[in-house]
Amino acid sequence: MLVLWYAKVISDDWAVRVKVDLKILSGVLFFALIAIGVLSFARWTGVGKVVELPVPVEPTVVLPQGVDVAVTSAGVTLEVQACDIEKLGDEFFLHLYPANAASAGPEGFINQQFNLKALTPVQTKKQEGPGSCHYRIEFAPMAITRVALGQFRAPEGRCCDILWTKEVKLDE
Amino acid sequence: MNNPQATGAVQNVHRSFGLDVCRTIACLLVVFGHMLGHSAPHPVLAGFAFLATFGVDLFFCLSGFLIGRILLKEAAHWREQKIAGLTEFWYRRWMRTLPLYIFFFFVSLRFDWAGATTFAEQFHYLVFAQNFAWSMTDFYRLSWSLAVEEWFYYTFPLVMLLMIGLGAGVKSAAAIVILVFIVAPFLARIGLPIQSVRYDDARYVVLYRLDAIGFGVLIAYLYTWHRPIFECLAKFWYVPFTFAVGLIVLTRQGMPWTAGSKLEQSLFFTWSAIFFATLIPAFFSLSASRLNIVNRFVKYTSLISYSIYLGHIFAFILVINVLNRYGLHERIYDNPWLAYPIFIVCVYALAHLTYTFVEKPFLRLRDVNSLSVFKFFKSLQRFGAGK
Repeated sequence: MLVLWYAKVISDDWAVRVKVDLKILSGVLFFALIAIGVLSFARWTGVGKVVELPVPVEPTVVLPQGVDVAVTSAGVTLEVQACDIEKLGDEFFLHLYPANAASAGPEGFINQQFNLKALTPVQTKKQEGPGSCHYRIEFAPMAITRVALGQFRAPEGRCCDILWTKEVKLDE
Repeated sequence: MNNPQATGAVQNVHRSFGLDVCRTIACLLVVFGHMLGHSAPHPVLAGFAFLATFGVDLFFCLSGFLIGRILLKEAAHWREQKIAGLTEFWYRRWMRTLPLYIFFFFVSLRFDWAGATTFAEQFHYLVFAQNFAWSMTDFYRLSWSLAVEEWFYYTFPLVMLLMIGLGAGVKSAAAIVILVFIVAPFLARIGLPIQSVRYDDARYVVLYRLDAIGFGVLIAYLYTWHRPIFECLAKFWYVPFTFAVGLIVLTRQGMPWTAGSKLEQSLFFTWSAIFFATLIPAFFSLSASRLNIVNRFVKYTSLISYSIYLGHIFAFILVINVLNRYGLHERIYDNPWLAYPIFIVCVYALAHLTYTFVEKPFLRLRDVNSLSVFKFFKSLQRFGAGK
């Protein structure tokens, strides 16, 4: 129905004046050629060409000294030796990749950002030497296939320099 | 939301309050989304940065409606005016959009978020060739939507004039060209093997996005020749509104990224454009608020919205650099209660300046016709003669 109505609108209107105007057509051709020329020139100069990207520097997977990470399907525990969090002042990211992709954000994961300074640790004392602090971050109650944990910086607000990252697959 | 009595009535000779509201919402959604992306927001708030994308979609539909109304009106004379009618249309559009675009292009060469660059490397931005059918670089990133607009201004009336030249009336020429501009991008998104396209990449490509403006022109077409349908859309605004909200919720859950096929992703663009375009009649029917301060805010934001859009990232950069210089970065930047008001004030201040000193003079110049130039020289002559 819609197609028929559409065809009728066009045919009724067109039937009134079927007269080709060569002056208009040549003008249209002229401007169309300008557009094609501009785009061709731009392409010729290399615009939009896929270039070989430099190999990105992989963030280190070496954990900061004095830190141990234990990941389970329920949460992540960070053990900081001697409770020294001075060198761990940067923000932590915790990316949770749920089994059900619909539960994730637009990026494909759930981000649980945190800072150790804002968390309350469980302190463990050893008989010899300094004790350690355990920081526990619980996951949202859902099936998670992969976890990425790390620290980042946003120098001058530009996100982000990844300082280190550790990935753990939970579905293997 | 709507007021049927006001439907179709233009409250002001030059401005429609409802369309100003639409423009303000679109503009602030973009600023809000980018502000979150350029700061350290709370994780819950960070999840709403994607709303910026819908701000631009709304902009496209609104632009299609506004430009469409002008085009359909002017095109009635194009058979007699021939190319002159088209070039007059382009002249007015370019005087409105190019000066500020070029101004921020040169600002970007020095102060872009992605770092400084050179004119020789980026000159193609001046002919909007940065993202025609390919992905653009990070330089002057905001210009992607301007490129979509400019190519629309160039190609849509050109194809329409072609139809008129072939003997079509304005109504049928408009109907054909609208259909072309709706169908072609949809098919291009599915089929064109330009490069491996992800949803994120496709969003910024001119060829893939022209349909959003095309749907806006379709609403202008209904407004011009099928007013009852237009009024019906305004009356049942809650239908597209519900679908638009649903689409936003789906996006929050990762829908276009997780969609399995190009067809689904292409349809996502199309539905998004349809829902936002069909909200335009409802916006158009809105009457002014009782609160004068709200009306003034809406009108002013709408007036400088183009400056806000092109300048807001530079305002963020300015704020961040000043904070760094005075050692206030950690104290203010990490505190959204301090950082966001400063960002917003700076965005409005910069937009006010660029509107006053770049946009406005060119808009005045645009309206100078040969008669007023003659009057100007005549008065200059009189002034010189001491009269």
